[in-house]
Amino acid sequence: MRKLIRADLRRVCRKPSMWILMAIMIIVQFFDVLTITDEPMEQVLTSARNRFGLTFMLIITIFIAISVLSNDRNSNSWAYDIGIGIGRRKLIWAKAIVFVILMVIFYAVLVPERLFFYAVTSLPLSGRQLSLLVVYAGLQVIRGVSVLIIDMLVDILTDSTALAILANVAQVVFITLGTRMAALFYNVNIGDYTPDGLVENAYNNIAAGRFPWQLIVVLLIYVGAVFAVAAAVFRNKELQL
Amino acid sequence: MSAENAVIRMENIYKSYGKHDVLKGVTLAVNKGDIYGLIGKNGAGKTTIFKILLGLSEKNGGMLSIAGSSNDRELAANRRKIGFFVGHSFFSYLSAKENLRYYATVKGIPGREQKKEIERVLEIVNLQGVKKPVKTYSLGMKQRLGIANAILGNPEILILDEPTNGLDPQGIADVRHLVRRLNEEFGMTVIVSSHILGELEHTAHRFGIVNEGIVVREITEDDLKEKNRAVEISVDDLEKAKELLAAGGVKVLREVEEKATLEDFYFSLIGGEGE
Repeated sequence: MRKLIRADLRRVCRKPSMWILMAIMIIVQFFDVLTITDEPMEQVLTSARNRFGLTFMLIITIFIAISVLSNDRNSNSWAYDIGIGIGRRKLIWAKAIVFVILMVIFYAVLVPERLFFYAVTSLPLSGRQLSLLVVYAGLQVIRGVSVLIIDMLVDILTDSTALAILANVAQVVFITLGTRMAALFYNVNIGDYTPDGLVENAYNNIAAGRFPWQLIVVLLIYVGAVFAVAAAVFRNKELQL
Repeated sequence: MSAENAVIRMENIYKSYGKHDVLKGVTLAVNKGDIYGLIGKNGAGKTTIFKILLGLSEKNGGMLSIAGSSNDRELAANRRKIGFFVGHSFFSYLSAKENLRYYATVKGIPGREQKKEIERVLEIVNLQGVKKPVKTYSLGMKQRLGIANAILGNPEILILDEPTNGLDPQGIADVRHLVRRLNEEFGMTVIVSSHILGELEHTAHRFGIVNEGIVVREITEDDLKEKNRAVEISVDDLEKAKELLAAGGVKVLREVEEKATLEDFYFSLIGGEGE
């Protein structure tokens, strides 16, 4: 499994698009910080969280879905890997771990970069505020992994990475915005049961010094249970040559 | 059919998709050191046989053994002894070397040996020095890269599913010679499938003829020779030869004027090897 993970990470990191995207996001963050004027610091942090939680989340998860799921499908590498003796369980676990590592790579670059620009521009953010921003970004890694695991299930069920990407966009944009609007306009809190809502509430609990039990729900259900279903479906799936 | 030395053995393999029976009791044995040709028209079941062999599809009945083991766990481990080419399995944005590096890592070839092994297989298929991404390759180049990938790590068993599809005559001849070389020089047991009889006849030692989901018969080169009662003799005086044969009591049953084949003309005009 380690060999498969290493091979996948190496080939994804060789994609120029990965570094171009990274550079674009770095530049976007630079301008985000540059254009801060007299906003209250809470507003600054809210904007940063929106950037990490929506814009970057969408870009990063779509990139990872394309680079792993789509490229694998186009190359039929899963069939090849199984044909040379890689077990199906190992294969699917390896892909999930690659999702985690790639999410961490992106946020491990973007978060320090933003903090660096805050420091350079001498924004009056407290240590606690900055720590909470780092925690929020970390929670987005978990949320991103849950999005990608669902993408993988859709890909396996439908044999279509296009549908997996649609599921990705639906999760990150439509469901997130839809549930937030439902809460805002209709006072219906269905968002509390989505990964986005659960992660937001987990963050609020951490900020308030309470235990973020919502994370356990995300990990058990949206990551663990969905992954188990994907693995079960994949175990018996007929693959084409 | 001798199965004592079989590295691949299939006994009474059944496979259905819903009500459609694709394999209806396939039995075959591939011995160590064989070049085994699997012949059959499109839809006969050749690819399904490979899918079951490679673990991409589950059989509905029968026994499969690879390198002497039919136990599920050992089958998975023994699949590591197989290299195969069944179509292109490359990342189009990577070069040949980068693709092979990916698969070398997956196959567990140690890092320090990868460069040498990749250069070795690229040289065998005559793709050394190509640096562009695979998406720019011709079909022939992709086929050769597929074979390079199949032989990466020096597998004991090599499976080639229609390796000459879409190739020009020179490419077909190259693959033919490569298969023989891999068998004779590197000791690989090769299973090669095709629906083109002439191509396999010059390549394989044993043949499994697949039709409508069963292996109708397995034959060897000796079987072909027994059936072959024609002998080609070159003489300087045909009429005198016929007189001498008649005087010796030998009846000439058939006189065939052999035309040069298109292949003969092609290679004589453009050079290159052919059989």
